[in-house]
Amino acid sequence: MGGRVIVVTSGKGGVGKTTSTANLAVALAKSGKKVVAIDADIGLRNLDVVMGLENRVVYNFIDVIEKRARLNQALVRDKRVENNLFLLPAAQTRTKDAVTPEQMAELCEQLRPDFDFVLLDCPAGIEGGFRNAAAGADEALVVTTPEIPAVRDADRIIGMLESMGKSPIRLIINRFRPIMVEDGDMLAKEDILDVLSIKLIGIVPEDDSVIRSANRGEPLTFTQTSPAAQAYSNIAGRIQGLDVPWLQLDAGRSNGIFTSLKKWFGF
Amino acid sequence: MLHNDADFPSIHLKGANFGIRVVFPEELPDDVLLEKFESISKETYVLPVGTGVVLDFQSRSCSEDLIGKILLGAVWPKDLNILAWIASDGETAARFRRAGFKTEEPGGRDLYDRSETLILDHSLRSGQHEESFGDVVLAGHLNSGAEIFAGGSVSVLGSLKGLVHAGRLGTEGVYILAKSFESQQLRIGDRLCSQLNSDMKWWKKPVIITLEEEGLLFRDWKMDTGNDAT
Repeated sequence: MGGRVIVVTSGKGGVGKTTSTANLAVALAKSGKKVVAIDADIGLRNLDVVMGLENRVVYNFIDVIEKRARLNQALVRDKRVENNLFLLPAAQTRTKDAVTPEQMAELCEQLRPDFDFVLLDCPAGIEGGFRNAAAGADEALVVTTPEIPAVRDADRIIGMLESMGKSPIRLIINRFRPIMVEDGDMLAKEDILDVLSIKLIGIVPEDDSVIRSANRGEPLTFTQTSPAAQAYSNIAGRIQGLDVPWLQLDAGRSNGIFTSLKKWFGF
Repeated sequence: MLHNDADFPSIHLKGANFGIRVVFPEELPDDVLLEKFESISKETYVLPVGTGVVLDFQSRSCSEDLIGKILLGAVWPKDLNILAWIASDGETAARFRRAGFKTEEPGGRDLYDRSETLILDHSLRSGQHEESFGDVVLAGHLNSGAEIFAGGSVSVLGSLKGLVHAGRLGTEGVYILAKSFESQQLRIGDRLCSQLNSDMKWWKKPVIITLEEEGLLFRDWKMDTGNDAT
């Protein structure tokens, strides 16, 4: 029995798969677990940038599969966490066809004995890249934003994951804005869960610090206590089976000037 | 008799809701008709939908001798399921009837009546697709991007957000029922309606939809549980 292999996927691009993978990898590593994050987005790798490790990439996992490098040569250790966090980068100059689902599954099996968690950052789409990333995983985290196109694509991916026998499949709602939900301009948590019918593992609120951290190459969960950082840390706890309280996400209107004016004028 | 194929028109095979319609050109001599008909491979008649073949002689005459040769040379060897022998020539049509052949155009309703009901006990997710010749009952949601194509009626006992085509073989006496209607396109029989949106009074309501002469008719679907007296 080795570590758990979890694919972080979504279907639609731009919903926060890579950000979620990086932040969860850091949060799990900080809690004492040994973690490797694999960038499975061959040809469009980003996880190394988001984790701030791009200048340390020498080999990638295609080099490992094609026997040009050993696995421990390709693993990039993140020195900011006590010997617990590693990145296995993707090849930037190859395409998704460079690897087969069987090779990815074998790679995950090689990593499983040495790590508590293997997180796979899945490319967008439902084609070969997704199938490769999902092939070696036992479980899945599906990331969606509260938008109808993203939820529909998440639904498609969940159907495919179910048919592949992945379990559990759990949901992260990313970039959630309670004030828009209150105004009826964004899907509510209940609406999303009604469609997707899988267990929610966390809601990450919209947070400007996410963009700043991605540009700096420093995942939020390293140091910050922003709402998004807190949400990712909570999800990492729930992945480990901990009973973590849910963040109170309110619309935050009470201090707004328009709220005060509305109250003043009796609206 | 020697002849050049190019001298004569071809037999036309047309896909139809019941399967395949074989149309014999009126100017085709009997021996050429037989030769061409026999040369069509058995695999040609295998379609994913439809159950049989209609032989359409148009206004050409078909003798008893030719009927026998068609049966012996093509219909029985290829194990064809002939749904009807169609002819506008009165004598030929009478000859077909005397032989005990069906001479009416096959209707979609026959196919629909012979089919079983498909019951699905789970929601259909985006990208998932179900087909049935008969009715379909979905005990769950039909999510956006999911599809049900049915020869008969479709009942969605959850939210209907995906695409439903009821009566896909051209049958019009069917219905679509939804506990919560939220779809932007519906198809019944040969009609398609895409002018559906959240401004409709039926949006997110339980409805039953049928096809009337003027188009789709939406009505409230009120569940009668039989417990009103309690």
